[in-house]
Amino acid sequence: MQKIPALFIVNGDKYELLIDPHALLVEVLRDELGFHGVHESCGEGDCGACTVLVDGLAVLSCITLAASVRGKSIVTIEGLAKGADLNTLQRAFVTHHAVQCGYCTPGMILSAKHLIDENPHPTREGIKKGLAGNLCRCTGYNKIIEAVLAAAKGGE
Amino acid sequence: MEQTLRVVGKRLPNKENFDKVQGRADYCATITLPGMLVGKLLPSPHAHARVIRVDTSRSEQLSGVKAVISKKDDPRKVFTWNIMTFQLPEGELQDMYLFDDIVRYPGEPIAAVAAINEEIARQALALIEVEYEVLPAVFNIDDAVKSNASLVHETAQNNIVFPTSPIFCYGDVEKDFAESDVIVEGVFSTSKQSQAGLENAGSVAEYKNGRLTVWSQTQLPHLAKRMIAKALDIPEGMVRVIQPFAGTGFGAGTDLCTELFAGLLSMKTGAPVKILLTRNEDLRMRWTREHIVKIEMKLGVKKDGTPLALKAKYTGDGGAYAGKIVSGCAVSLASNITEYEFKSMYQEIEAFYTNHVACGAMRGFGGMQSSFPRETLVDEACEKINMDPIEFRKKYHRGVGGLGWFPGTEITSCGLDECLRVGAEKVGWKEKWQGWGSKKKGIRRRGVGLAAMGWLSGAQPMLLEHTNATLKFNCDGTCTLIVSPGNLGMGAIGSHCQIAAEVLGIDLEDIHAPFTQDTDITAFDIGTHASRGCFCIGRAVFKAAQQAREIFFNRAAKKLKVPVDRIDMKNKRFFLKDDPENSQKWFSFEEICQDAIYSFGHDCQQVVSHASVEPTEFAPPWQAGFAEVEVDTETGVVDVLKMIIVHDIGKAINPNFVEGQLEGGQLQGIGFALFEDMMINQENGTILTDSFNKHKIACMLDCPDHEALLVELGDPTGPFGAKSCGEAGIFLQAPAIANAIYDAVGVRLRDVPMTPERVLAALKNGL
Repeated sequence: MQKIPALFIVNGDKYELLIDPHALLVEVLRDELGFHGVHESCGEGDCGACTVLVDGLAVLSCITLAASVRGKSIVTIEGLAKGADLNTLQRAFVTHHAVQCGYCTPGMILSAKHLIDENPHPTREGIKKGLAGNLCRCTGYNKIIEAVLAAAKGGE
Repeated sequence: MEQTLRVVGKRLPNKENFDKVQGRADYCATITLPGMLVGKLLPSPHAHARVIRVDTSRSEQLSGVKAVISKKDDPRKVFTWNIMTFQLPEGELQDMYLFDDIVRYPGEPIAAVAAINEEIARQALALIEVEYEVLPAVFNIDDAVKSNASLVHETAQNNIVFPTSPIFCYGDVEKDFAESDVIVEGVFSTSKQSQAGLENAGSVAEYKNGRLTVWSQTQLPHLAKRMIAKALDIPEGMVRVIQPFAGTGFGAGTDLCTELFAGLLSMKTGAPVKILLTRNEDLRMRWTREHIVKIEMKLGVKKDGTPLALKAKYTGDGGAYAGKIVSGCAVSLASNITEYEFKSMYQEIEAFYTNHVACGAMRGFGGMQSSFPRETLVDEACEKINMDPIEFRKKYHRGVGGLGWFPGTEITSCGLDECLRVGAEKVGWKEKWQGWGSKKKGIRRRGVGLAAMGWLSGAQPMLLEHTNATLKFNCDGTCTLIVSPGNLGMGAIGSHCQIAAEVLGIDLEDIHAPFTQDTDITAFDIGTHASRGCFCIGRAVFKAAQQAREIFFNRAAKKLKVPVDRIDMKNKRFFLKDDPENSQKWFSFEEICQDAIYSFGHDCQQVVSHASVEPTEFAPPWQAGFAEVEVDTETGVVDVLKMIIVHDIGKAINPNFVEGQLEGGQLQGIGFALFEDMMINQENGTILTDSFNKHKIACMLDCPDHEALLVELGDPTGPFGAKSCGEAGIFLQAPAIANAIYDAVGVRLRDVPMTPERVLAALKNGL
């Protein structure tokens, strides 16, 4: 199949490449551009592990055609820290032990970022609703909720 | 002791999480090697068939295909994915071949391909021609035991994996039942839950310079190494297993899955090969929770509650291969022994083959199937003798010196009374529990229930639990800790670092521990299973650290030119006990470390402290679980309003890690209790629930008000008094919720998951 030219702005940097028209966003980010923090699990939009931000919105990269987000600004987990300085959410996830196996973590943190960007002062219930699309099998969610609450307050 | 701890007991971060929150942690799913090929498996469409012919020629000719393996490539070595078989002297049954003449479940791999990309690999699968002779199949035990039933394994008459056999019995149950004032009994069923970690099953293999390196999600790297060598018929020394971060576990890593196929493909192609299953493939092919389909249990007690007799029979549906079904049943009955002082016990197990995916292990192995029937029957017995269910448990649980799971074992500590006290207070038992026979009214009715259990910290002395730890010291006063727990992110390595830092008198920052496990570097270790990581490996770490401390004390004494008993160490400084403030007479820990590496007095020594341990003690963690539920009598929906578990951890090396394990277990336990089930199509043996929208696991909205509280009374055998917490979070949701449902609506549920359909049916039948 004929490849198509595409430009993606990932974590602020421009990448120009040729992609399959049917390539999924997760495939391009992970396999073509090497952003290994984009984790795939269900492959059909059930689990949220592959969540990235596209123009600020939390998007499931496993069911998004890469071609549909050409030219848009994409943020992956690799784009949150400023150099060695972790983002508040990342620090809060470590401090509150909101991470175990860590496979859902990148998607969870990016969904949480979207949630806090939209609503800087979420309630516990608001967090539950906002992050219900991100499955975690390890933590039982309590410590994730605590981490997001703490990060929203600007602390760890 | 308590006041002097500097590192142990603190909520310090798990260092590996800095990598994980930045997306910089490598998993099998993310590992990429130069020239790596994509491996894919061709699944059998049939539940049971003879493979007459596999023609791979067209597939092999496709451009971009590097290898196709099938029956003709089978090394014909019998093995099992169940790598824990090596922990028993006689082993568990090995009944698998890589590509056998018979396929025994839908989805069983018939062939595998390696190609330059995913798309070509898929095309290559489609070009493989297979001719089958379809055989009759059995999908449940009732059919499997019929006299004319098709045999899943020709050598297993009547599809028996393990014949009905009594184990660990004592006393005379029939006599004790005759003397019982109250007898309660029931027939129960439990589900084939999927571990369902978010990283799909996968592995990478690279055959290079005559050695095979396999990146695996295994929880037991050294046992995986041995089994890979056996199955692929190569010397064990030629296999190296690396466990990067694993995005799964919960028992799934105690069995192999894709490793052997990736390994053989890499040996054929000479290139690295990755096989990563899709979620659908993972749920169809990966071994599930030990599937105990039927539990018959009977308890006899005196009017005052005195427990007299317990009789039980566990029936396991192994699926296509023996896997861990026999040990699952055996652990079920063994875990009944510890809880109460029954005068006599008679328990049997039996297990059968059927034509669906086999079962391995999941968190709460066997204990799910003992705690649910036992704790609900205890509740029934308490009602019949009109006794508060908390009182029964306080009065009749076993205590220190009592019988552990296995003959000859003794309980070393018990904090259950405290767990019950704390939990009852927290849930408001006195206010909420209105006594037996309280009639609730309305469409939505509330109830409370409780359950209790005692578990283990490693499966010694029944299973080999050989474990090792090595500390290698650097010249800057830091050290590298080398352990091999099979890292699933549970915090075991973090706990080991805290133990080492505490014993050595240095800081957590001074301990470096590779998160990746590599069998070329680590000493032998059983790995992670049976809640052993902190207790067993922690003991090896404790011992290695003590030995190292002694070495450094001796070196410091030599430098200070005094006998070793005259010096002490504090704040990372060696000093004279009788002259602690003399600044001329002290050395920092760093100076002593540096002097060992760069000794210009001809006294160089690379300090490496190694400890091998084989724990034998039975240090059970105890737990009380309390549920408050609201049952909708019109829909059968059970809402969990509150779920509290109180866990006797002995000592929490890091309370964050312990709570994390317990809270994670809670939601898996609520899933087991209410909605998780692997449904098998009874027409063709396929898994119906092969995606997250069919096999539902709890999301945040399913997350009730839940809490895990810790009781820390210590254990004489654990490192700093610690016992286990890896599995314990998951046991008590099903029985406590079932007992709370009874309190709310007066019906007893015998089957998990307790779905709305089952609750409604029970309400209609007034069970």
